[in-house]
Amino acid sequence: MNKESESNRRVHSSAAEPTKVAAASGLRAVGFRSTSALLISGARNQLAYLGAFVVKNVFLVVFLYIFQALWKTVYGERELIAGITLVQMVWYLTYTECITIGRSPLWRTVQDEVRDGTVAYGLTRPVPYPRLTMARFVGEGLIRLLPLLVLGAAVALLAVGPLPRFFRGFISALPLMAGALVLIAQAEMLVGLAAFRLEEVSPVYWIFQKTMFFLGGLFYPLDLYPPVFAEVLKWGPLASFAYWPAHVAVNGGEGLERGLLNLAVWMTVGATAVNLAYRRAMKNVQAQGG
Amino acid sequence: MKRNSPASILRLHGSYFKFNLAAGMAYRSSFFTQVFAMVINNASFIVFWKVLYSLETDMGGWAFADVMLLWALVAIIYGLGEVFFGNIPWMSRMIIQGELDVYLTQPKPVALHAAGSRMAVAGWGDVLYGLVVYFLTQPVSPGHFGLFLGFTAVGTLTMAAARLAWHSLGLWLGNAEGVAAALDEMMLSMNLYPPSLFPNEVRLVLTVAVPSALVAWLPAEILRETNLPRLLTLLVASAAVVAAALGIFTLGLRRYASGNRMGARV
Repeated sequence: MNKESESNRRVHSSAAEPTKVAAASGLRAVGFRSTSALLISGARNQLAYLGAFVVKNVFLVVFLYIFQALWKTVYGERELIAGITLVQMVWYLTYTECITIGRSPLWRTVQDEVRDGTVAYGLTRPVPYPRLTMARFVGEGLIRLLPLLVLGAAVALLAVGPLPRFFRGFISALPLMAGALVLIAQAEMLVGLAAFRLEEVSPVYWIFQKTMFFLGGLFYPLDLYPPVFAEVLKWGPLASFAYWPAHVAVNGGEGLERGLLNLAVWMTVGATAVNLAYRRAMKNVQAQGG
Repeated sequence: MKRNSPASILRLHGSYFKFNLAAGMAYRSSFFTQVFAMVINNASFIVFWKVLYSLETDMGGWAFADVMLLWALVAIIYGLGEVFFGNIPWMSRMIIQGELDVYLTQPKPVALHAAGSRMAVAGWGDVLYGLVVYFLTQPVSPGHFGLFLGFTAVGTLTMAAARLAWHSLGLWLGNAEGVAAALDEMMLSMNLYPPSLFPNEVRLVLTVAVPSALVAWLPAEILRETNLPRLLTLLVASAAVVAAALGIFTLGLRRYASGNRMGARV
């Protein structure tokens, strides 16, 4: 009896395996389809408000105007600083500002939804809350990026003229820019989920933001730091937020492989960290019907 | 005492300050975390300026200490604005949502009453940072510090008034939230860079459109080199900005359409 039941169990178990595999791959397919649908939905939502968005982000022009004036003063008569020309510097800042300026504050959305309990509704949905929120964020960010790049490019053109090898650099940097939005979404999700433990997460965000400004190459290329320090930073996660996309864009595609490698590594680490943080946070959720 | 005399308005602001501070301190750890994080947030920009000054020591006649003077002024002015008039950045949204109704029914000047009814606690971090930077980078003397404090008081009123003016644009134009946020950003950003970076025409436009020159540029120049005509210009122009802002709000309020929103303030 025992043996029979054991063999039965084995048969059942082996019979169930293909089903489990099919179900898993089915779920993956649904997961991929739903993530793409969410990404597209975020993008379409954004398209409806694009005009208002552009007006709201006129200060991109102000930032770029300030930066080009600042760097023109710093360059003076010099041709190169850390191997970078003035034209490359201004276009570099155009790319980094465009990547970061247009994104919606995902960390605040998550903080608010943790506070008011909206996050609990995610438990009943087929797509996990972080994936849902991050896909919308990336979709919106991608649509916002395009008008900002046009606006930023116009300012940079007027300020310092055209960037050599623009199209090759731009095309090469596209996957890195999209990847940067994913990485920023992961980081902001982690900041937002900290609301499970902290009363107010904005201080955490401020520190993260300023770290990105100065150690992620948002305000200037990492090449301006002493070589060893710069090299360490280029291998770190923050470099993929701003430095690698902009560096590749202003150097005609050079550095793409290293940028992609850095992005892939840190996106994997980011996904794992978000997953762990979310699971841990969900253990603290107390919800009841209604 | 008259109901809306300056003394009565000051008393109202004093009460708001006391209650807002008590409300902020109710979450003590959050309060101190925000203040401390804001100090670090502002201090991180020292790295930026250090890197720039390692490449070029002369920014059109402005040395590193001069830029830090700008930062000290702007941090304190912005911080005091957040502490004493912390509701101004929310006013454009309140106008669209009809949330001014609750202030209209109360016997105090609407603009000042609404502006002072909220405190952003992180503003204390800005004030603290500004004072630390001032004492670490400036040649401290009683006269210099007195003038510096005077400029922070005038600058706080000027910046708050300018922000009130563009956050009241909603009374005239409908939804002006985006425009007001952009102007806020422009005023703050421009003030943190030496004016010598920009051509005279740009400086003039900025002074008229967003009174950047009045908030930090002119005060910093006077602190570097005392100049009486400039001081008088600053005081007169600042008073004009405050009067204009109150005028824009008061006249705009006549066009305000209530949201018929049910609300109560306790």
